[in-house]
Amino acid sequence: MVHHRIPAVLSLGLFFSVTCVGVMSAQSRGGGTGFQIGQQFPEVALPSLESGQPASLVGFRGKKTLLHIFASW
Amino acid sequence: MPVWHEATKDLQAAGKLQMVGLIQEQHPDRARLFMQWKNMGWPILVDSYNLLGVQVVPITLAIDEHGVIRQINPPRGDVELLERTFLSQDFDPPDPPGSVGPETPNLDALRPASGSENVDVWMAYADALAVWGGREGRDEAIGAYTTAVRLNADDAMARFRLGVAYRMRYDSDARQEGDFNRAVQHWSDALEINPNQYIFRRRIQQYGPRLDKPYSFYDWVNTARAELEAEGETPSPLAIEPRGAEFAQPTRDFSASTAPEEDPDPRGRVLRDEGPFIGIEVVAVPPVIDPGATARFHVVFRPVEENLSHWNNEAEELGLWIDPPRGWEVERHYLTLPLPPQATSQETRILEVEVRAPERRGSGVTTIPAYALYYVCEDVDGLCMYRRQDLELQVSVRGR
Repeated sequence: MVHHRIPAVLSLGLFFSVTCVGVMSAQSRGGGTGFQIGQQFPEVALPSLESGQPASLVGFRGKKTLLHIFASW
Repeated sequence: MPVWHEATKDLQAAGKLQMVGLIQEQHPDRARLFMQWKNMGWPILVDSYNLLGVQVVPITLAIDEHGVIRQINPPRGDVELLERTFLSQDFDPPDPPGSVGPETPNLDALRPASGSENVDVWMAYADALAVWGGREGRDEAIGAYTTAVRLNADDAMARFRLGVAYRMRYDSDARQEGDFNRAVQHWSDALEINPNQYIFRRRIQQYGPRLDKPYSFYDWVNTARAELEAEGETPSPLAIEPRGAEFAQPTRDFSASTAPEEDPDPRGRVLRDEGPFIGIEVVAVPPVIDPGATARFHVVFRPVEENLSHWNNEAEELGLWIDPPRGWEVERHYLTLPLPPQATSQETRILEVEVRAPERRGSGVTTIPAYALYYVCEDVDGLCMYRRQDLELQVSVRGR
């Protein structure tokens, strides 16, 4: 599988590109989720469901957050 | 997720914890209905193209005030543990500090140089177009993802995202013939390259056969609507209604047709639809199966707009006769669709049917002959005709 770097404008740029490989090879620590404890959550700009406008978790910083990655099925 | 919502209501109200959702779904508005039903009014981010590259859902992440992941899938609903190990902790900011946040990508800056053969550059451009480029951008995104796939045929994520873009176009007014087929083919290719990617697998299963289903994908939709309406609420609308395979429950057994069914036109005497007045698209999901496995065919019927075609609903219903080769099994040989109440209509109609390949069979493409029978009118109040259209349902079988 090829892991794409998220483009710099979409992400932490170098930070994420460096950590991405580590994230994927450390699945045991993330329970196979692809994430790793201690990792900064990748700052990808994504559309808000309500407005369609760009949003990211950066906008929610300053508070502790439970992020649920899900699908309604 | 609803468990977490209920368990942390007080903490949310007190401003000690915020809940955010991130959906990995082809049709984001279905998540909106789900959130309305469960009364969960959190902010939701949409990641239909899986830019995050997650392999499974659901995932719950406890993220601190600096944006750092502190827990992955904390024990569900255990608020006491969450308070003790996460909410009451003071975490140090990361070193180096996190970014100030992403910006919406600049499409002009991302456009690859003429002749670029850098797959990452093409993917970055395609991702930005797909998510932010609107309707025109989606077509260009399809081109850019196609270039990425050409540059690296083993790029599973490029294939998956190309499939998502094709299915999105299929669900829009800009659909082109073959879009759904291409989506399913690219998702299947992506899964073949990376069989551990459950986001890829689920996208195929959403439209696939019941033997391959882990659960019904959208059986909750009708329940949600009924309960919301009973409470006096208007259910959030869906742009694309789930249907057929998306509602179907999984099964362990293939129930092949055993009752005798009569070929409605055994001598082929019904005149062919030469217009054609009805366009027909056939999609096999998945397009390649193992011997003994099943595929689900989606047969999509659309009145051809250029010919002003309309369904005539005052005569016989739309029918589809399937005549599988020896050794192949079919749920039913003759499928019909009930007629709507109005005299004429112009909607898309879809029939879905599952077939099972023989256990012992060489690899290759099998063509299953079929034909459709329908009443179609040239226009509203125009000439109406009973017509037949012959079809081929094709699916590939892998070698053992």
